[in-house]
Amino acid sequence: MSWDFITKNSGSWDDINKSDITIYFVSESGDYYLVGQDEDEFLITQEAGSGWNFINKD
Amino acid sequence: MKFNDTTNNSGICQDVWYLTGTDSTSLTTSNIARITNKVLRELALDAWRFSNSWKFDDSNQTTFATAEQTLVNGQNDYSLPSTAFDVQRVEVQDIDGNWYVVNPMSIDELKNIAVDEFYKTNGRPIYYYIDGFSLRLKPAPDTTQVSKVRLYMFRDILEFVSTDTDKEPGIPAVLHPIIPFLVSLEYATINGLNDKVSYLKLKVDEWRQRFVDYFTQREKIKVKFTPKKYNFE
Repeated sequence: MSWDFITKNSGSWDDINKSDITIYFVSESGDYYLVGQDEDEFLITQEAGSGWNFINKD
Repeated sequence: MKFNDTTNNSGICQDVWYLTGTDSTSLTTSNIARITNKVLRELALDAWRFSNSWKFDDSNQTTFATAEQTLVNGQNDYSLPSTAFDVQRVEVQDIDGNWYVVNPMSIDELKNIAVDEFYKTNGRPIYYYIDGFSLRLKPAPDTTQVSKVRLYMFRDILEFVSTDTDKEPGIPAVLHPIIPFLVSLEYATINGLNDKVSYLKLKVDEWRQRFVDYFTQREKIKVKFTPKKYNFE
């Protein structure tokens, strides 16, 4: 009797394209913004003396 | 890295000619294929030796390194596939289609019982051992209970021939550069190209270390995403 090798599937992989996104970090009049590709602006708030916010454990 | 890439000049043959200062007349593709097959076998053995849970098999293979055959009633020995060089695991299938692990054993463990008396009655094989180039099952199969045996193995590489062009080595592409260095080192050493041997030896040593590092580390290098809950209130 001979051995039968088990056949591999021969499917191919599709590469996933990279996203080409640039985000700018902008300072203006003492405030800081993240500016996205579509010029959306996200204000980074500064809370005086807020310190660290601890994340609760489950 | 293709074997012989005359379009882009970037194959194994082209790199060997570059590294040894030869050409297709002084160093034929036939000789390069022959030496390449030798070094690929060295590398396959190193990959077997150093790989962890992700086992190595030549990626040019169109089948898994897994083979099965129908059991013969009362026959306890089965020749291994000619390409196998190590057995990783053995399983048997019962007549209902369920697979069972067959455990490895050594006959050295049988201190007070003769080999032929151990599991003498045919049944579902519980143990196996390798005897030369044969798989031995204990007990021998009773084909009213079991129908097939399956073998998970390490096996030989697929060889290059002189006329290959686009075929690539069956090791990970990131390691392909080691092959022309190894082939060139053998050619340069045998042919007294002493001005090239020390450089080639240096590059071979560097790449061999990378090869070993890769096979000892791969599968361990993982990015794990572990979901966790946070309370932001």
